[in-house]
Amino acid sequence: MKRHFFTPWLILGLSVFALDSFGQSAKTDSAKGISTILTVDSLASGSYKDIFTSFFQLAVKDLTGPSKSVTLNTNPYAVMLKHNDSLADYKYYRKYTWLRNLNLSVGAALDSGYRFNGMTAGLTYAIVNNRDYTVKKKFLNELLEDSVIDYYAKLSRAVDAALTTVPVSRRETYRKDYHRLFNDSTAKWADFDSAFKAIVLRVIDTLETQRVPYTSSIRKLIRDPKFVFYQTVHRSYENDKSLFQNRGLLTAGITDTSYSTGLFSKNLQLTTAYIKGLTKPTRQFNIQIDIKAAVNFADDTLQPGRNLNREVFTLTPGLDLVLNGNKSHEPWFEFDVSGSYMNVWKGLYAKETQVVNTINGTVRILVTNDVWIPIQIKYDPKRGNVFGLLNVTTNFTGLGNMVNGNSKRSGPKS
Amino acid sequence: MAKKTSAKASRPRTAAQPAPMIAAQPTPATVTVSFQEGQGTATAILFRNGANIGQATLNNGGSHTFPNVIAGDTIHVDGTLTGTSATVGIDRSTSPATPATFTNSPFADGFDILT
Repeated sequence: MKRHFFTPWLILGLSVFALDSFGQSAKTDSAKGISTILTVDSLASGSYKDIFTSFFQLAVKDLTGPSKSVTLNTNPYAVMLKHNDSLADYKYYRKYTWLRNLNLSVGAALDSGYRFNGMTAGLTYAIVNNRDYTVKKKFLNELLEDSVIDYYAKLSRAVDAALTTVPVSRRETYRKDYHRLFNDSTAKWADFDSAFKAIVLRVIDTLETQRVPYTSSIRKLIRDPKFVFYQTVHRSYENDKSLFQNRGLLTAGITDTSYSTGLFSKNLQLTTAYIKGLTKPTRQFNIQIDIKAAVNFADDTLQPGRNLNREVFTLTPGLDLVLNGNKSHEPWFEFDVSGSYMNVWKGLYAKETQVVNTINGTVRILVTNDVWIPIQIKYDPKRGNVFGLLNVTTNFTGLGNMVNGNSKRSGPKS
Repeated sequence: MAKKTSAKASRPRTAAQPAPMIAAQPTPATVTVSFQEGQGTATAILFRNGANIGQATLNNGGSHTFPNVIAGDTIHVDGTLTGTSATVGIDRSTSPATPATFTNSPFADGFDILT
């Protein structure tokens, strides 16, 4: 009874502690000027993050049902980075790609009375992770071939060269404007010093005579005093980046579930998942293929002693319909439709159906980038049964951001 | 011992002594670029009176030394990054000062050599 009463409060307490501690660490990081790793996948959908997390994820499943579970997923590289900033350097970032592609999970299963009913431990490895644009040579090449980014480089060099003809004492007054023009996504053209603008316009004239692509477009845009040059350039970068968000991700994993006594191997699960976008992710409406397969080796309770003699195969092919924000292109609502095929290969119980097919629907409401509430509905067309699961999934950077008061979607930084 | 003496000889004069009225002697300046949580590429250019004196491309970070740099020159650095930030460092007194961190991509800035 005592345990029954305290368990939900313990979970709540741990969540609040995690929120607080990660919020603190986020504050520390921001003070150091180091951004957290999850900024790299702010455009990722909830179903993507359910398959593979890049930092921490806390998932509470089947909140209202008889078999509740609390699972903590983590990326070991992200944990190492939290404790050693120097690992952020590309040399180490590349070296530890295998660690970045790894997810470790621990969880606790609870019964309807929130009593401990066993624990889980598992690992997932991203065999193919084409969404990790941070190490894709192709992405860097695409950036270098981008005509807007190329123009940006040429203009920044030519303006800097022009500034070196100005005496050092006067040059210093232009330096601030130079930095803002080429790095600040809030700096309006009208706000720059007129002498500095004259230098930039002379350089644009020169580039125009050299027939540098994009010069005529910039000449038109610059007529608007509200024009923000860096915003245009950064948008082009973000657009190139978002194209990577519909690429394929293939994972494989293994999870072991313990008995209520804590002894492991009551259920061994081998899983694989594949997700790939079908439409351009910058569109407001995006579709993803989401296929999951699992083989469960479970304890056959009809047989004496501990064993893994019951084998169940599950295949869940589905489609995720993702609604993206109009300007941010970040997902805020998802509807997943899938079919489930379950086949008890071995250890069929009496009166149990060997093959069960269900139609599933999951609605994910993304409260912030990293906090979402998935509501899952399953329908068994043969028996006409409908059953639902209410889950809550959060990423810890999301919690950290909430503590820092910047949980809403992030635009280009300046 | 001899090494120590020669190092002292090349050191600039202290503030108490008047600066000599001769053209500054060119000395090397090393630019170091590092990328955090992703790859990147940067181009470092030494400009003097509007002319390109030297140029180097640093893929995924690294350093380059311009052998003849004088006060008043500008070391320009521009690049793209795929991770969270890029840090630029120059082993000379510059305006703006370095190391400078850029969290957006692409990035560009010019660093005027002061001494």
